Amino acid sequence: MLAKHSLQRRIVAAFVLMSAVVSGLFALAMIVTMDLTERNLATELMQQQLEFVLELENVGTRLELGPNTRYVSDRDPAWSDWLNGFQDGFHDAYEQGNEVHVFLHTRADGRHALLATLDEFERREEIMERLALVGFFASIAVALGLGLLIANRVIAPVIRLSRQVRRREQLLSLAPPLATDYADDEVGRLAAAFDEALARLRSALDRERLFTSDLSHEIRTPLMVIASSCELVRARGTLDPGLDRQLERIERAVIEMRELTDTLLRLAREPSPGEVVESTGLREAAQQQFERWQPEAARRQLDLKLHGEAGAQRYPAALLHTVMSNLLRNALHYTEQGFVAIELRPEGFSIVDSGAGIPAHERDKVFAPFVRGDATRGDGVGIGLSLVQRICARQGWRIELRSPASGGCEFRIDLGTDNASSRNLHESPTSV
Amino acid sequence: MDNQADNPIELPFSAKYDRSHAEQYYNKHRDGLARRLSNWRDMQLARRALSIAGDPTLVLDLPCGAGRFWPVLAEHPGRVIVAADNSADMLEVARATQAPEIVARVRTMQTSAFAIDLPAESVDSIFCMRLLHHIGESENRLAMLREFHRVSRDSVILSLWVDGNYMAWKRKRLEARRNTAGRKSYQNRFVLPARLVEREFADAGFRVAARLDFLPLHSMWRVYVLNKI
Repeated sequence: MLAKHSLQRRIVAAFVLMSAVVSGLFALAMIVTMDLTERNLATELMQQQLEFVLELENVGTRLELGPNTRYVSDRDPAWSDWLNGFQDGFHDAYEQGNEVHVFLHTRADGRHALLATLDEFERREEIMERLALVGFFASIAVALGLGLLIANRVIAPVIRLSRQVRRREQLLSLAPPLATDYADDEVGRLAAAFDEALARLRSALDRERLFTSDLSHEIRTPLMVIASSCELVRARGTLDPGLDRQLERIERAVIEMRELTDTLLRLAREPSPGEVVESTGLREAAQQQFERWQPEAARRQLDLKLHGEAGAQRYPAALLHTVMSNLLRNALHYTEQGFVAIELRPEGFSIVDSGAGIPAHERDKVFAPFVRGDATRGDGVGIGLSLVQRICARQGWRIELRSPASGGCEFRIDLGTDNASSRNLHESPTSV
Repeated sequence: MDNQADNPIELPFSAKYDRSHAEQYYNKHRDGLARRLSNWRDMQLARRALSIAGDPTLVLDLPCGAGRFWPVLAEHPGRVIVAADNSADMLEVARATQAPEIVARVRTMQTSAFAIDLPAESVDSIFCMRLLHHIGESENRLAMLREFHRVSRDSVILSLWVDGNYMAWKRKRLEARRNTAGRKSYQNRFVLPARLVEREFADAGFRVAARLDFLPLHSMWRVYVLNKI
């Protein structure tokens, strides 16, 4: 069902509608009954009165009727022509705008009519009708109030549950199950379903975290073997000069892989108590990255630049290096000619390039894992920028992709001053 | 390294909560009819506030002091209570003086309100009684509120002194008289303009869900229930 209105409004509407129908029917029935009763009673009464009047007429007396009732016959001059329009029997009619009851009877000697004006009766009838109307609206008002009250009562657990589930992505194991707090009804079952789903999510996250950290650990060892073997080969010096370049590439790749696994490991698990995380200044990190990527830039005939002034704050070294090197690798990779620059600011830095830029519709996708730019360029699985984003989200750093008017693109990172980054430098476990 | 975590905000008032002071604090709320009445009203307000906050099931009581509100917090059978205080002495006194069945339900930790040792969005609600009126600087209050915003998933309940009532007016007059007399006394408690503090709540990302006055128009104590926007 397409519910356009909130549950609460629908409950209230149902209440109001029901009471409107019931009290409306009630009022209508009351008015109809009143009308019928009036008609029956008046008919009987007026018939008797007319018979009495005519009987007296026969004996030659004319009865003095009350102020509201008068008798006419068609032989009288007082007979009005509009009475001819009615058949014998009882009628509701209007005489000069006032409602009158008319009872007509035809005898051999002509037509006789009894007319009763209804001032008093009409007033009472009006009061009754007004009462019916007031009652109708009053019952709707009561239904509205009652509906609101009951809707609030009925929906309160649902609202509470939705508040409890909101932003529960932290999935803290300390949190008690939701279902124990609710009665064993529909809402309780909903809460139990949430508990189950959250528990599954939590275990999936735990598994993922374990997997990543195990894998990173396992990869470290073979990487060490490769690195030390390279060193050994170089020390022996038995290589022909042509293979020297290959060895260099292997070593570079090993360093990159080690950094990647370190970063993954760091993202996968909380630092253990008392663990000192290496920290670095922004300027220092930028200089290091600049030197590292200089040969690559030269090989691609790009101009790698470093300018701007950094602040004195310190950040977790491995994470900052990963962010910078991934952004630099990305920029160098997608820039055909011109320059790649690291621009430092007191509270962050930007990596700017003179490449083709990123079309607006692809900008949102850039940070998704396994999404690459121009597929023909090969190399890498597109995990770099998604990793950058994960690190930023975790550290509370802000990353923004801009397109400068001069073309190319700018990845702007604000490291901020909040304590989220420093928190991870020496996070201590709680006694919780 | 960022110095924020190295030197979290330390205010002079928090240095006074040693062991003996902590015990005094526990006793303070237990003698005399007026004290008992006011204590009862405090509990009532706390109960109302918790109910307005949607009966949170994972509550951080910060600062918990001598655990005065633990019995109220523990009234909800399924509630997990994490009690934190800046002073280890306070925590010890709280654990020693409160009823054992209640202490059994409370996990304690020592932490500063300005840098809570918990990950983001890790509790349903932060229950912060009688702390904000010790913090005179707007900047410090905002730092604390932002930290609350980080750690709480849904709501914050806090109490403080606000203006716009008889007692605040009286206090102001008294202070003015003191100042003219030339006796400058050290203040560690502050009456805050309600409008100012509510703007700070909004700045920190909270919406005011309820304002509960201890005694409307008379008393300075007010309990706020804040929801994260």
